[in-house]
Amino acid sequence: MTFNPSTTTAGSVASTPSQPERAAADGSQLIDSGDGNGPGGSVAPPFIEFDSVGMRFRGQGDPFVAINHLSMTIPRGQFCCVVGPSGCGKSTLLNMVAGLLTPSWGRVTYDGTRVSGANTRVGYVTQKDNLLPWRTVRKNIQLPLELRGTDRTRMRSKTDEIIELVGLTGFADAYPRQLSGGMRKRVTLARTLVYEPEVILADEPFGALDSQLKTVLQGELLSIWERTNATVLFITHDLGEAIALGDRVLVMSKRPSEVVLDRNVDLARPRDVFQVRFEPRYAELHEELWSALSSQIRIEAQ
Amino acid sequence: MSAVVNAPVESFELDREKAIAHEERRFRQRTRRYRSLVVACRIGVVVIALTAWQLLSGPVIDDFWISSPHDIAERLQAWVSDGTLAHNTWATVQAMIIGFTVGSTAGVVIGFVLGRVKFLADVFYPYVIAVNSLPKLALAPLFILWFGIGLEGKVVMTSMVCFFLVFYNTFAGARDTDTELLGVMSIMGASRRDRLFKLILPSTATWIFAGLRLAVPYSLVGAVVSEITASSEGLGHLLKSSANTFDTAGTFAVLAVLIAIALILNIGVSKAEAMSSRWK
Repeated sequence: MTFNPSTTTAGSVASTPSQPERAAADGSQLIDSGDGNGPGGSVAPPFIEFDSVGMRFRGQGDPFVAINHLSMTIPRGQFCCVVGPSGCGKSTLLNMVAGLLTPSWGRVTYDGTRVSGANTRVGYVTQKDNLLPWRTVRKNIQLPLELRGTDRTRMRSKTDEIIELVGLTGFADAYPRQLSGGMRKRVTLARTLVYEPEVILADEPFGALDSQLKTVLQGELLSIWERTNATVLFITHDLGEAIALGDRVLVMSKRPSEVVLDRNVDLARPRDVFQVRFEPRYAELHEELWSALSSQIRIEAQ
Repeated sequence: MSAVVNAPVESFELDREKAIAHEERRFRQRTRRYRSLVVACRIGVVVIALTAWQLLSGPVIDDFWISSPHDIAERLQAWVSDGTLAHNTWATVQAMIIGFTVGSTAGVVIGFVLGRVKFLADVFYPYVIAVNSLPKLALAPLFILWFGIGLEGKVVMTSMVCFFLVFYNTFAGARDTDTELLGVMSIMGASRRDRLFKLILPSTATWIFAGLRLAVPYSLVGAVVSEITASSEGLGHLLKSSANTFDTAGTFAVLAVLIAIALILNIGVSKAEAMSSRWK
């Protein structure tokens, strides 16, 4: 499968360049800036690759095939969103990249090597907030640094910095139980961002938040992504969110799932997650993606 | 101009502060008054009960059956001065402490291992259930037969009772550790050791503590029942020998001491728990 993320960065861009600068910076490594659908002159090297991957689960009842035959690649630096009907195995994809699940057949490669065992190069923002209830906000956020043996002063300053970034100053010594759901979500996000993983796997991270807070956090995530050039694999059930954030949106089918639509999002960057919804192109993309997604949901509903 | 604008603002600030201080004072006063009322009523209940007991004993109910607070107090005093109370209390408390420590430690270790190693749990769990379904106090005669009427028999009985309470909680806690969280920790770079010390043990700790809290009062039960079955010293022994000689004052005196010990244990456990789980 080919794609070409017209706005994707392969090299690292320190600041947040405006769209033309960014495209120019990428031009040397990334190839074509066509309409974003056909293969260009050459293709970016795959960073994360699913090669004829399948997953069969043996649950309480009969075993079932969640994913049958899935192939796709994600280049370095891309913000890739995945939408699909519930239960179609979207989370399974993330778990395979993270090394928490091994595909039943096929293979998942990460930066050229096959994923086996926990992949410590990624950061995983799970659907649940997954905080340690006996640790304060600060201690929860610094956990990955602690595990990676970061020295104390650096740990302290990095943690302070990220706490401020997600707007939790003043809550550093609170325990998760004392926080609202939205705040806990921000702690989870901070805990992932604090060690600057090269890939962020996010499983409906903003799903349970109210729409205002959601917009704010989406904006924060985008600006962090633009600054760090991380690769993001982002699962959501909110099509609008996928278009507003992503370079590319994959629509998955119902089980056994496969990619039914792979769409590059050719909206200018940097994007304002609030304003972008009023652009005519946004509406067009939404309509196209929705027709693909709703047909899957309709099949499921029957 | 600015002075004119500021003046009312300042006075508003001042009024507000005053109002808050006043509110706070009234709130504290009310809380204090309520607390005092509760404590006074509690004391009142005890005084009324004891007085009624004292008055009824003799004229209404034969004091052979119910003794009287006065006789019980006298008996306690006599036991304190001749050392009977201290000697027997220590015998019981000693058995309790050793039994609790041994039984709980075994419960934590075995519970944790079975909780984390699925294979061992699958093999041994049915046996644990089988032994536990036996009323453990019924084992007292057997333990006395094996270990004698001294300290050992009591300790074995007590640790047996504590073991199961702590075992079940630890086992459940060790199994309960969130697998997704373990995965997320591994991705963040946690080694096996990190996962054990930073996640599995702390998350099991709450469960272990719940087990220990249950085990503390039961260690008293274990020791006393063992002493009642057969022993040469201890509060259970004192209780049994008083009852056997139709000494109701002595029997009630021992019960009073047991209540006191149980209350002290309870307060101790609550304090320890409050310290260990501030995050809850």
